[in-house]
Amino acid sequence: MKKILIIGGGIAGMEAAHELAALGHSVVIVERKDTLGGHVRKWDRLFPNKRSSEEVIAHLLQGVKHPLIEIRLKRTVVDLRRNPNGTFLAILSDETPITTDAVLFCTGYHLFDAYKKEEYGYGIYNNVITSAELERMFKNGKVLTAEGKTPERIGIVHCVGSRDAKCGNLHCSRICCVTGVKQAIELKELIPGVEVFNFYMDLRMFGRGFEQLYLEAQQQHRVRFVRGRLSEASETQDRRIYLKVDDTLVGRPMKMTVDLLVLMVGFEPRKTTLPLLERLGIERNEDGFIKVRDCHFDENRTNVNGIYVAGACTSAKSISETLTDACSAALEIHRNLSSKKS
Amino acid sequence: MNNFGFSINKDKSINMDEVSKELSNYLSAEEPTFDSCMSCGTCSATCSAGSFTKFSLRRINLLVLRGQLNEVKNEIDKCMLCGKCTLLCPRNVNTRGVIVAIKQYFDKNPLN
Amino acid sequence: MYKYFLDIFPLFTIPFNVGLLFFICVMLYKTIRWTTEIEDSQWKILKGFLPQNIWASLKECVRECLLHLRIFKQNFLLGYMHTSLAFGWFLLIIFGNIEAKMVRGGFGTGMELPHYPIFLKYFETEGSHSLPKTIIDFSIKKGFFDFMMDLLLLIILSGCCLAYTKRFRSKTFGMKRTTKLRLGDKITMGALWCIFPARLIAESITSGAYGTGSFLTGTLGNIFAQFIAQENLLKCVGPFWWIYSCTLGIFFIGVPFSRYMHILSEPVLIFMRNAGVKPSRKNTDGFSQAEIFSCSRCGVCVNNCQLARATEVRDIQPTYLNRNIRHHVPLSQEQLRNCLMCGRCNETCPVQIDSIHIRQNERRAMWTKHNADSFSYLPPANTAENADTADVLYFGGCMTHLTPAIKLSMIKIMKAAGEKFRCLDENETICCGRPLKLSGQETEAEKLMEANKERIISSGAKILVTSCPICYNVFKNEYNLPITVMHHTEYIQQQMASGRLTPEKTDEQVTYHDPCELARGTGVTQAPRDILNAIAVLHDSHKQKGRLTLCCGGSLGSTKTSNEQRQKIAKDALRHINPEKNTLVTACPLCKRTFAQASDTKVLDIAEIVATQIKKKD
Repeated sequence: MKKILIIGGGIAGMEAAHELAALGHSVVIVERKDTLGGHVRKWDRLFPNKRSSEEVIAHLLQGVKHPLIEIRLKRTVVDLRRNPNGTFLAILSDETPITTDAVLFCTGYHLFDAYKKEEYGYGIYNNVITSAELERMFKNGKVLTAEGKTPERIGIVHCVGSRDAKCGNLHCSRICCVTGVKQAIELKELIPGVEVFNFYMDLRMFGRGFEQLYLEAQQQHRVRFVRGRLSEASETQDRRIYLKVDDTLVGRPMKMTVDLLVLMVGFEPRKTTLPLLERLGIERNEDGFIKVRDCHFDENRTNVNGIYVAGACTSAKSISETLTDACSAALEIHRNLSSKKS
Repeated sequence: MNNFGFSINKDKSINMDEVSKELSNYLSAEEPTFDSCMSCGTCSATCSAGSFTKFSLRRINLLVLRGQLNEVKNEIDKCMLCGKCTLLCPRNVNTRGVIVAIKQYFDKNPLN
Repeated sequence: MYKYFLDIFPLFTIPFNVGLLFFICVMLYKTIRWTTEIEDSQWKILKGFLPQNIWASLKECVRECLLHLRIFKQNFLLGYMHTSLAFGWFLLIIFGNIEAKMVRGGFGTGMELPHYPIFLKYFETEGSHSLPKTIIDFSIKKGFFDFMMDLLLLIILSGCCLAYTKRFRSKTFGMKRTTKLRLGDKITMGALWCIFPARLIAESITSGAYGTGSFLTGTLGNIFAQFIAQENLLKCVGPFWWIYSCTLGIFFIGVPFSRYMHILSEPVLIFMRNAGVKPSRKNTDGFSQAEIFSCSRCGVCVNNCQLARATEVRDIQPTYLNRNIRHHVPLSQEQLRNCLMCGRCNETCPVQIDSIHIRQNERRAMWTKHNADSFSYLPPANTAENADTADVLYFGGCMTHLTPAIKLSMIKIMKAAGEKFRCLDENETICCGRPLKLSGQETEAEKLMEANKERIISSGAKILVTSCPICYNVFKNEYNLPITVMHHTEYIQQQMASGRLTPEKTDEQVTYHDPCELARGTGVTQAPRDILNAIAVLHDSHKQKGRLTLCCGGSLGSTKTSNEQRQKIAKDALRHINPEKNTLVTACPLCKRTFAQASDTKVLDIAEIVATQIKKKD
């Protein structure tokens, strides 16, 4: 029986653990938080079908209830070395050593730190929030301004920290487009009569059901889409947010005051795993995400033998893509370990 | 030409078979970052001159590509060169460099 | 008769004499041209002859043309190299002349031909039998002079060795770069490199042949004499003095065609500067010409230029700018526009050439047409809205619109100080005009300046406070405003000193970065330090501060520097300014944004840290 260490207990780690255990391998999941589920826990309802995130996590938790799966919460991997026989020795933050035959990185991503875009006023004006903070409001069942009022007009800014060379992120975070549309619909459903404006550069509705969601936002909810990237935001006397944006399709600048401004923060490569990656010599792409061996045929192996990757640590992914990727990684590990004689 | 007693309105479309590519080619060599513009409009809405006039660098990019040199020339002098757009451009276009390069072009190649 | 002529005027001295004559003619011609071709008042040249100005010029000539004290301050080895060559050679000429006088029987025996002291060793052995015996203990003095001449030669030769090393291994001098040379430079430099070794060999052979010379030439001569028969040595004397003379001749003729022209130009420049001559708006002006010719291409500016230090841009520095202008090589767009105009080169130039002014003149000349109607769209100042006159007018500046934290902090500070204030550019900004000016379009910039001036004056405020050092520089130095202009650092410091503002002290460790427009542009360096010392723990030990501060890379002076280059400059600057990774505090919205992009530590404007330390009094 082979042993596999999974770093990160988000949805990718959970799904991969489930599949590997089903294939007869022993698995250790190391998660630094006190619960499994990762970023998805922060989300209220998911695109494209508005399913509750808790439903997904409950399903995955069911999957990791397996005698071969050992879960170590509130721990991190502080050291990871390759032994001469090809196995790995990991040292956890509680100083326990783990010897494994393969390591699967499911380390996920960071949400972009919106403080970096000072011109949008996040952290300066109270009524500028991020998409993650809006999800928390959805979970609590009410969306209010910092002053406790029901917003009458809300602006949603796409591509915050994505496709922005000034933030050092040239990549597209992919899922913010549909998240912006989903959140617009949810706002419309939650607050009767609220006006919602989505400021976008391109709407990339790549997944199944995404375009339908866009259409729903237009037809059923009359969400307004403005093609222009927000330039500056400032605060008015009554704590509303004054926006300056170019309405590029009309060809004239647009000025508008909103009660709440939601920033669709993008995916950034996780910086906390850098020391581990560097110690093992794992290559990264120019954008900072972990590099896979081949973008078509070998998406779950890194340049280092025995180190596998799954989920958003290699690129921004939706939940469905992450789960598929995790299955694929499990199969890849299984195939490689089975071919080796023990 | 025969006079038929009526006139046809001048064609409003841009004929890409005929327009001048000179300025566009010159800018690609002089300030290649201008080619990476994705028309997001960040420059135009932040623009100091844009709060007083229709001036828009995003539009100038398109006008250059479409060879509408007269329109570019009429607009370009309105820029104050303050540099806000350079600080915000998500594609790292050296916007102030573009403006100076275009102005230099018209300084050396006046349109008739 | 002919033989007698050859005795005092041997043929080998011809290259030297021709060279020297040419050198003197060029010197006279250039001095007359430059001093007559100034656009500033011609009377100022006469002012240069006032005793105090002459004295100042002489003092500066000794300090800078001979001793090169400013280079010493920059770099000891480089300073020694220049001093040993210039001052050493100068002393060699002085001692040579005194010795020649001694040999000829003391002072008051009339003028010597210029080549006589130079080739003294040659003449002296020839005519040693005629040495006068009148002076007491002449032999002791003779020995003293021989010793001194050899010592000076040794010092100069050590300088030469450093020069060779610098050319081939500039790193020895702690310099990353040394200047690239033109053909004229190479020939003249080659000649200069050979002069003193040639002199050493010529003198040593002569010493060897006649048994004279002191510790250097004498010893070396003895060694030669050990290996070479005396008659052969005697045959060698002539050719080696020819080589020495030729190297001198080539050097003197080469000077006007090379960077060594600075030897001639620098005293003229110093004289004009002390006479109070101001540069004009054209580089054809006599003063600017003298500056351009005075550039010795020492490479100190290349070494201090951040574009050269952090990026691959290494042909735009003043040394190359001045060289190309001097030799009428058209300037490239890079040379014209890819300069941050941060002024660090001016600050460190050993000849104190105002290269920023020279480049600005070239930038102005880029534009042949001007559009006086560029900004006719600006609305007239609205005097009606100024019914409630404020004491302080706050002008955030364009960039401050992108750093709302600075603006809000300033508003909080002014409220806490109980100030009656108004924001001039709350919604829309008219640029201060400095960026346009720096691009060379000064006629157009004037229009922006007029519009702002009208708005500022019609506001009726007594003090104008700005957060942007770029605006501050131009408001203060070029607007001629009838009201007080303050940068927010000065304003905050004043409010704190008068007790109107009482921020509490935090134990936050901070490092302060001087914005170039504030420190070099307007000399404000103490106010921010006073504030930070009062409210935080300031680490101020790094060397790149005050007038020597580094540019953040974001400068609006350049319209050609790419964002990648700017980020490289910012990262390089951060390595020097903030190696301890403290909170970086600056006083310019542009510095803040540029550094925030490049830094992994917190970057704040000084107003922000002051505002957070203002606690509500209960």
